[in-house]
Amino acid sequence: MNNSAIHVSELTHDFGGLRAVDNISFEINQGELVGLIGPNGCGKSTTFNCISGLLDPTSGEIEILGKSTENLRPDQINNLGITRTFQHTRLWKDMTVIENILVPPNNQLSKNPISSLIRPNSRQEESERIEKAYSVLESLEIAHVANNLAGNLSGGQSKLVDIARALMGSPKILMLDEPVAGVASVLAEKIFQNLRTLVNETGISILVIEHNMDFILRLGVDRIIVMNSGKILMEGTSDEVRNNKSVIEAYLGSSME
Amino acid sequence: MKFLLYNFNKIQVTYKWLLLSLFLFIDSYLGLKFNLGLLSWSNIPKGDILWILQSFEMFASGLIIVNRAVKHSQGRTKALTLLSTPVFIFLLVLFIMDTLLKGKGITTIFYYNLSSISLSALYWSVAYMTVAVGLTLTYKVQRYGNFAQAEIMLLGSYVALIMMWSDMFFPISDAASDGILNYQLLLASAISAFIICGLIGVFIDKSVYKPLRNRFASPQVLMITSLGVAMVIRAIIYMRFSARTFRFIPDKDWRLLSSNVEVPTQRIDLVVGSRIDEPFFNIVSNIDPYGFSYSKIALVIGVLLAISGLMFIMHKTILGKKMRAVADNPDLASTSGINVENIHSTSSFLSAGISGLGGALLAAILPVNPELGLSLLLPAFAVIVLGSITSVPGVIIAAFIIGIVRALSEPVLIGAGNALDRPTAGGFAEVMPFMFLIGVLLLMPSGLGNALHQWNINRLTKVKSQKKKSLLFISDLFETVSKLTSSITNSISLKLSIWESKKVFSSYIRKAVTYLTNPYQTAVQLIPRYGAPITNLIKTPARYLPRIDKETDRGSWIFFGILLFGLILISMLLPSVSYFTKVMQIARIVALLGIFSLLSFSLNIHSGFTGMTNFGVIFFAGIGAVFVGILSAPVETNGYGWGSLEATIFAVLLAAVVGWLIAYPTARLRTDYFAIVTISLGEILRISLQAEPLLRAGTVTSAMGISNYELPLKDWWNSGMSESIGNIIGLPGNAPYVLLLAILSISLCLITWWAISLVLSSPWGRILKSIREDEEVSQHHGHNILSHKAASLALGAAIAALGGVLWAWLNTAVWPDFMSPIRSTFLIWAAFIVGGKGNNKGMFIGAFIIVIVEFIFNVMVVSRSNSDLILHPLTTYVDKIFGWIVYDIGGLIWSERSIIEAFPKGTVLLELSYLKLALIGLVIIVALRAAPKGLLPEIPFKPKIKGKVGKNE
Repeated sequence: MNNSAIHVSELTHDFGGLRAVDNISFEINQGELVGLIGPNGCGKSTTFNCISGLLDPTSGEIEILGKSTENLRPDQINNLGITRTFQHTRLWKDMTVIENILVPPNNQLSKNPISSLIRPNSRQEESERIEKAYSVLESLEIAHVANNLAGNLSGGQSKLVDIARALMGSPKILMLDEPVAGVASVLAEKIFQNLRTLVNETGISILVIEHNMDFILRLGVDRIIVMNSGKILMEGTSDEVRNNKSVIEAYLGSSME
Repeated sequence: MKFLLYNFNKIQVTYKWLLLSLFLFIDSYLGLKFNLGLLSWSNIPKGDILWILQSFEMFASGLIIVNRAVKHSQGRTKALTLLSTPVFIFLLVLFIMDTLLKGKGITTIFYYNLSSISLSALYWSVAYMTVAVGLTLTYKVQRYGNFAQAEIMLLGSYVALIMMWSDMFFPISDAASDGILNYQLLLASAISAFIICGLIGVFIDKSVYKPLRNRFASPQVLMITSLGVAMVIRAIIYMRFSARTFRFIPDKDWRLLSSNVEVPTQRIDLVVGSRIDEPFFNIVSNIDPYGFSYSKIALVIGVLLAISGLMFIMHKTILGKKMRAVADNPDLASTSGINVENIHSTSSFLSAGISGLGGALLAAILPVNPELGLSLLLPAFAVIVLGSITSVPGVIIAAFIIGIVRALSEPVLIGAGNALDRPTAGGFAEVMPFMFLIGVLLLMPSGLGNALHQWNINRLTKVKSQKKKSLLFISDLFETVSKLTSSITNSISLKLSIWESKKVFSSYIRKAVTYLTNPYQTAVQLIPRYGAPITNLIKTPARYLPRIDKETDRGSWIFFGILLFGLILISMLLPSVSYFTKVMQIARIVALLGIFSLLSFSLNIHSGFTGMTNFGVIFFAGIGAVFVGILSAPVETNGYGWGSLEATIFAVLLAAVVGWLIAYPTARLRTDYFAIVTISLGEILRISLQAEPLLRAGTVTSAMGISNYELPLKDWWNSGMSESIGNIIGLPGNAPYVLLLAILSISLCLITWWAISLVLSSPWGRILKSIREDEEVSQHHGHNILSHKAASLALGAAIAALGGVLWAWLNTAVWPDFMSPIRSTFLIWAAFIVGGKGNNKGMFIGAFIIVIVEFIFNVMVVSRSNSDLILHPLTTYVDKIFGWIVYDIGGLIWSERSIIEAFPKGTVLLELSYLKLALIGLVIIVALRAAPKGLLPEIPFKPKIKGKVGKNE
């Protein structure tokens, strides 16, 4: 069987006359933790947006777990088993943290007006969901803010809630856009360890965008994809990336040789 | 069969749609022409409804083709398809009419007088522009849809009237026609309307919107505030000028029939229907020339000049550059040294000024009354949506398109109306712009200006940009003017600062000026100082009471109880003549409370939970009222003779279906577009009630409206029940039927409340809230927002329809003015804002407050003539103040003639219903600023889990 979680082939996206993503192809396998790095404006987030259906690719094909995402809405793509976070955390601000976390599961019963009127045992279901939500929050060490309004959180806490919300939908593939920007570095490392254990235990695939190259190099990602000006510069393990000249050039500029 | 199905599934979606449209087309063609289609066979719809449905079927088949064509073409073909769409739709309509009339064996002629059509298109488009350009400017710089724009325009019309009645100009206006056109009055009115409305615009911006801007209020909040502003302005106009219709006569010569330019014309007659030897169209050339009156020319020239001046400022001066910079990014603009507040004032001056100028010129053509505003506002919104909101050239083109649509539709409506026994069908011309708007939103939600913008980008990337000289001199001039006009408050206080060095009462005067220009600050500063004893008095007992946290479940209920108790007390204390009338009064209060609560619940589901700004509450309520009325009216008088229960169930389900269906074209839209579409739907229903014979029932002549429909349980009530209840509560006679309605209404309200609180506390309610907060994220978490919004719209629509049904029973008749938004939608919005969005207890309290206010004002009206009633002193006092304002203060501005014209009986009386309107508008404005969460705020969801109670940090 095909083992690919995300399969991107010859993806291109233009903003007006600007080509943000230029004919890239890559593949993420199931049970892999992959980093996507690159300098500002290299097309990382645009790639994410194309995969999650926020943007329609100008050309190219994307397959999630073997199914093409062409003409699918973001919610349909999500239902294929993929969840993403946004670079600028977008929580539902006038709702409490716990409520934020409880929205995603799409298998919830009583998610339309009629069934919510006639389902008698939803209370049981609800308390189970809340239990699960608390355990997710605890794993990210933010259970103590569960009853706060999401709009009142600090930047780092918001990031964590965003991750918790993404995990709550039990995705098969997780795409995190700079998940630890603004999070204290000790905690950040812990989050990455958690993600690692998650991958090892449940076999989900995770694709992480990270701006801070040092950070991602120190953590045990399986593979790193480096992008620069809309193209894939290289793909390889941490060591390969660390020793690659063109990567260093892309990050620091050629004058730093 | 299986094989067929298998093959059908393999066909592409587009071809499936095309197959469907082909089927619909053939079916409706057969039905219309030979009475053979599916609908005819089914034999359910009869008479007029049959052909209406079949025409609709054919129209829908055409729309599907257009929709698919637009979706599948790209680039240049797409532009071409879009441009040819109106032509296609026009031909489609002609074809439908032709088939229909052939089937019926009737002939009719659509007369297209070429000059008349094109010139009235021009005139209407310019009339729309007067409002639309102001709207665009506000959208561009201040970023909200200003629902008060039409009222500002209306103020311009009334400025013109005041000028006409002034001692200086009245002789000119009143002089007998002498063959010489006097233009002084017209010119003076236009200029003063420009300046006065501009200053009013600046005042409103500074006193209402600036504090909201400083708090980073969302465009939605600004838009709702503008609704409040519109209500206040309209109420002021009503109070000062009464509901009478006036004509602005710049000079009698302007009104002469001969005062026009004769434009030679030709006429195209389209012969539609069962023609035997006649050709499809004739060109008639020997007809009288079309007279385009001078006043219309003045409007066209004046408005177009003003707009070109605006375009010049926007694109050729530094001021314009600054305005565009602020429009683009206010924060960045302010860091680059632009005084953002000054730019805001300039833009509000210009936008209000241009509308005012247009209003003054329009007054010379259209009869002026306070309702003129809304009839121009909605088409203007259609124009700016088509022109994609922020583009002035887009607006000009869109206004022409909409003007042409209106002018072209009129002959069809009149011709077809005459042929089909609907002489009033011409009234639909007024709603053509909204219908067109809804069509446009279906086909290209981003509007025309976006297409222009794209085209411009393409052009600019090709052509090298040329350096343009900036006209320094003129920009400096405008800069100075803008500084002068925009910060009139600043300049006054500047002058005062010179005084200050002399230390002559300066600080007092300065304070007075700031207080006058900023009423809110005044309240904040003055109340603690002078009101300290009073507030302390209130605070003292409050200190000993336990503090109620309204954002917990328990606190919310306690506070609800206190408010409810207070309101019940007030309704008990309201004076009434006898015990019987008191029972009537209370019953009416309770019945209305049930109705208004239902409507507020509906609004709460739409706007409070799902975040869709619904300005069409009355549209859904109207569906309920109209259908229950028609269905349960007797058959002899054009009704259908159903029982009340079946009719109610049908009406509620119909509203739900309609809500569901309109979600698909509209729920993708921005929240302000949605507001415009829903308010337009209400207007469409109102005008249909006026013009469509099928929507009349209850009387034999059935001139208008629906009446004499069956009231629920009335027979049961009258056969004994009424008497025994009357005995129980100690009435001298039978208990009134209203009492039964009150019980019915309040119990339906409570049942609905219970049901929706179950529904909204379910996961579905959470999903709705997440859509309100950020729908894109909900979508990325796997929720199909479109279907959730549709379900929310359907649920809310059904509840509103139930409220409408009850209202129809309470009123015992449904007239077209039932649909007027100031009597319902806007009141519901006030209840929604005051009560607290997202909390149904708040809705109940808000509705109660609105109902009580209504009754207090009723009592005040009665107490005016009766000195025994408790509110008599208050009423007399209000009248006295009003007279003082109109005569003594206003007398400095306007002539005595203008007062006599508005109050021909000689007594200056305040029409209290308009005072109520103004108060409700004020409440919306103030509540949004002072207590945006309302009396009973939304309760955050904080579940308690054993051993894991969330601790707050």
